Amino acid sequence: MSNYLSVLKAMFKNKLRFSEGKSKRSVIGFLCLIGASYALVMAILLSVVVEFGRMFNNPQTQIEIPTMNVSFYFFILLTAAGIVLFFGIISLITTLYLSKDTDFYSVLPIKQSKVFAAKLSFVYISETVIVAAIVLPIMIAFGAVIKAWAWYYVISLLMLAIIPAMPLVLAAIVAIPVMFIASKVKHRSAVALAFYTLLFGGFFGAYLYFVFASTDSSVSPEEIEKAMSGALGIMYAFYPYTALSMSVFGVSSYGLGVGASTAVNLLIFIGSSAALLVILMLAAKFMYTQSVKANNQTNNATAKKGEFKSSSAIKALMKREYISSFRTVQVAYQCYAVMILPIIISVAFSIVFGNMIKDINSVGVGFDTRFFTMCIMCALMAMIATTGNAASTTFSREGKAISSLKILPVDIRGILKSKLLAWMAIGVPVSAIAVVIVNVMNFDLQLTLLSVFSLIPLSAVFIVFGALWDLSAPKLKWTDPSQAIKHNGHVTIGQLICIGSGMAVMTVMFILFFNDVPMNIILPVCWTLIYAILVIFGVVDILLYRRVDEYYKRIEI
Amino acid sequence: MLEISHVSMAYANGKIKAVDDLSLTLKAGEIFGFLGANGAGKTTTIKMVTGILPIKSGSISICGHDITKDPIGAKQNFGFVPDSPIIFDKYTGREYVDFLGDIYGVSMDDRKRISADLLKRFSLEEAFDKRISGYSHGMKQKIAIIGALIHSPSLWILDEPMMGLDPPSAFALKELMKEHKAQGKTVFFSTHVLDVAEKICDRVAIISKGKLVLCGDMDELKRAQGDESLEEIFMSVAGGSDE
Repeated sequence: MSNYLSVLKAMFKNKLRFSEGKSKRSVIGFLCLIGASYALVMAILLSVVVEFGRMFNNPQTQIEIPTMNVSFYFFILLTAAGIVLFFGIISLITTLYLSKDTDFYSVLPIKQSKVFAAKLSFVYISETVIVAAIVLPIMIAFGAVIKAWAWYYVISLLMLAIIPAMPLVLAAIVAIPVMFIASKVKHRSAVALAFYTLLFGGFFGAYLYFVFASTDSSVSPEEIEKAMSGALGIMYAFYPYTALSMSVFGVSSYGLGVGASTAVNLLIFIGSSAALLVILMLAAKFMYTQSVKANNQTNNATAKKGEFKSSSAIKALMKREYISSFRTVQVAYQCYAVMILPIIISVAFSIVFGNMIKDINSVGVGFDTRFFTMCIMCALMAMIATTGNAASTTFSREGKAISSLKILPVDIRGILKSKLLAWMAIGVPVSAIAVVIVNVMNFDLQLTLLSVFSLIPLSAVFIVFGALWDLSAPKLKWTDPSQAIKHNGHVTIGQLICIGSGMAVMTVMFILFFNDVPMNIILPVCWTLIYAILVIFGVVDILLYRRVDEYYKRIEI
Repeated sequence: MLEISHVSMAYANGKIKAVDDLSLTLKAGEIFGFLGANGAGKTTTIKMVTGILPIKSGSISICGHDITKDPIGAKQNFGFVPDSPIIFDKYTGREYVDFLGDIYGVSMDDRKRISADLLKRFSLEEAFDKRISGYSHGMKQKIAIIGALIHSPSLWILDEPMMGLDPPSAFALKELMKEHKAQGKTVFFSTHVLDVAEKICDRVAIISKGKLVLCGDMDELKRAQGDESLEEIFMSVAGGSDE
């Protein structure tokens, strides 16, 4: 096997293999969870696609169908680009620049160019797989709904591997200045974290707004058509995608016939993607060279003289929790950046639902606005898990250093207290901010009181639950701290429990609402459910807390 | 100072005995060497002494505090330097020492005084405000030593402390051990370097396959074994690997 393939294979093995010692049962359980999460996300996305497809092909809507289909296909591609852009930046930086295996590969008798080629291929293949997993089912579903020709499926499938080229070039263009700034400043992770948070927040917020604003049922087809034509600017900016969209639907353009314009459009897409791939290779090569250079330089810079700062044992442990999580970029991202989600949800949903309520009220429908506010509360409840991500891996992230904790004259309750305080000090205010935003934007005294006294405590009990659960079976065997979070069932299951709880309350609310049960009855039912969930978490926390000594004792390294 | 009484530890459902009915008593004001081949049970014993591993049978007490019944009291009285310094590498050296100072309740003046002295001895002043992740193995070992001594513990436990140290630092460490003893405190360390043990230890214990095979005063041992060197004594009672 050539060196290139050996390196590529090693990278995939390293990425995909489960930690040693994992039982078959836990691997299957984990894969089932991933499958369930994927199915949930796809179900939401596909339902949106099917709705759009039906709307476009409904003769009553009087929309110019080919234009709308091209536009929608373009937006599917744009969604793929967004996903690749988001994950691609992180992947490019971590694989090519902040990679920990640079030293390892540089001592092997392999040409640096081959290592680079393998790394770039790794990023490209990974992104293509992500695109295929998310976008391909959407394309197929859309094709089925609009009854597309076979040509649509053939081209969509064949061009799938080229789709990531453009966003990856953009990702490299964005990643290079980030990489430069990060290399110049002392707190690299702070720069990376701020960047990831902005990227994540911006991308997710914009996406939510777009999806929900455009699925607004009160919007007329004419308005959608207007909105779509307003998006022409984007279609010009991402012209290769527009060309591909036109080619799959056989749209005549450039004054040519259908066959000729399809061929020209395909050539435009393939040609421009090939050119972009060359740019991507140059940009990635530059990043990799910088990484190798940085690795070869010994850090001889004199550090600024620090000062001792005294604090209590608990505060010292809390400080340690922040420092150790903040100074590793991937860990910081997983612990802190995701916490922005509840705030984004509250802002984006409040704006979207606020506009919806305005539209409904403008035509004189006496709709109970508390229904929408409750929807936002349920979504918020589902997203509260993100405030507990850091707590759910707090012991796993210790790894072998847990033995250093064990020799300290602080008992497990003290250690636990410090960890809980550390993460509650961030997670609970985040939940509080999100709850306050929803209430300010959709004020109702009863809902305000209920949400403040349920969702904020829910965030606290969830953080406690995460930390205790992690203590009961921490994942301590890892070589890179980010592995303590990746493939960690505590995070995934915790998130699914929260999402499930939020969805369960929302489902009950929908069932009652669409069976004409008045909101004055629905609300107490929903809040009783929320409080029941809060109490269940509280009881589980107490039960787990009673066994902390036992859990701590059985941890062995 | 340190009382290890009939301690045993087994792995693999009791099939492998890592430590087998071990008893030792360490007095105040002595340097005690804990010797054994690879896999003899030294690190397991030290892990039990320091509370990293729970004790399945027997008891260990440090300065009168039972490590199982009163772990906090026991832990306040020792400082530990592990064989592979797994310390918090995201910290700078100063942050690490400061952290331990907070945990053991060391005054600011003592932190400054003790760390300044030890940094000078180990020539680590320049690296003190740099991240530990950038330290060499020896430098990590040195910062672990400074951290272990920041609260002036009565019992200083070291697991293979000479590993990775440069000659001046190894010398400084031996001097520190002697000073610790001179203050009426105790040093308990495991080592493979028999020359070092022979030169600085007041007493040594040799374990093999988890069992104590020899324990005593250096002079007593030599007399009893016909004035042989420690290496020869070791080879005669615990020669070969226990792995």
